[in-house]
Amino acid sequence: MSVEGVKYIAVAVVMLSTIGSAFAIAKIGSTGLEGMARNPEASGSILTAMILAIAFSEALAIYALVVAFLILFG
Amino acid sequence: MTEIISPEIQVDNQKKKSKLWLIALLLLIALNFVAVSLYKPIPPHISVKSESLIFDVTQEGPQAKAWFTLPLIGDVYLTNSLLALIPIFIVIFILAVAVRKQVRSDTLQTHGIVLFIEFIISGLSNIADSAVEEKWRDKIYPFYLTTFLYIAIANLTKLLPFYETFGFAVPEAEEGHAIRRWGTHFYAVVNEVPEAGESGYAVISFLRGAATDLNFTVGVAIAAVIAIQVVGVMAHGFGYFNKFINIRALIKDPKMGFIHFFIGILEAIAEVAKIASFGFRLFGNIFAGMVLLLFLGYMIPWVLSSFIMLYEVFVGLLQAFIFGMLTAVFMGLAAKSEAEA
Repeated sequence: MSVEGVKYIAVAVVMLSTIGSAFAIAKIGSTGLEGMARNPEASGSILTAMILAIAFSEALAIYALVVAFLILFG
Repeated sequence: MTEIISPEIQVDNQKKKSKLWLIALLLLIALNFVAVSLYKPIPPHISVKSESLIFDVTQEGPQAKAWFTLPLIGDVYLTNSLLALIPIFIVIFILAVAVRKQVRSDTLQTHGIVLFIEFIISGLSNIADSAVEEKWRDKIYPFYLTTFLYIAIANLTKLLPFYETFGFAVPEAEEGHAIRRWGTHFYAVVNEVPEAGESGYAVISFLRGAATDLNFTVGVAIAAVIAIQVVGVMAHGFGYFNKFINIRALIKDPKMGFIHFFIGILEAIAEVAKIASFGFRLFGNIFAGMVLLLFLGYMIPWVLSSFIMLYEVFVGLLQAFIFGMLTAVFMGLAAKSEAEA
């Protein structure tokens, strides 16, 4: 197997971590919407808390992306 | 100064404007198609490191040369992402001058760009109000809004034309492209295989988005984390560091204090991890956007990248907001944590 091939397989394995991040963001979005529907007055504060939580969980996927970029182009 | 325009004329004006706008758009799209058919886009050359603008031309391609050397730190390179700070400073300077002019003038009502800045600042302060105690708002908000403005302007200026496309054409050892002469000093690097005996060329651009360089993002992250510690010390004195090395709990109750001591060590590690998390989040998002734009511009060069550009505006502003907001939230936590414990 060539070095290039191993690189691409490594990138594929690294990017598997986006599964967890996607699940986390979906969960945050669904529960946030539920909270907004039950309590529309608090939608502003729920939205900011939601965006912050999404930023945290999205960061994990971004780490994987950075590692993938380093493997591919670094 | 208010102009009174009758509604009918206004509607007429709007109609004329919208038509002109459409014609300009169609012309730009036509220009896009013509330009792509004349000059096919070259496959992007992506490097995680930013390129030095001072280099020697050798057989193996450009070799970076140090700009100047500092004792202890080592070589400093004049990179294209460092040069991209100049447009950011120019924009911030213009904003500052505009604000100063309106503050000095006698009119109480703000207008134009200053009103827009006021709108942004009040909106951002309202969002952070739930996370920061009222006592600390005057100390925390300046840093929060400064980081937001700096990163937002950095991410928006990155989307200007000539970034990552306009620069030195340097001979490359392998995978170079042919060049076409455009005059005495100007060349166009085109998507053709260079003729036998001639060397291929690549572009080292003058400007590259500041946030696509890890040095910029980690630098801002280190500044933010240090500022968080400073707010903590301002709130609790040097007893703030008791949060990290919890000797007080260890002396008070050796059995249970051990757990608190261990938690303190974990807190200290989390503080260092904040630098990595702040820096990599911003870098990853903006770098991924750059790679997306470059590859899409190569594979589908017609129209589509405009929409991705719009998405990049959103991502850039969101990342700037998240960076500032997280700093404000952590500062708020550092200011109040010990008082409750």
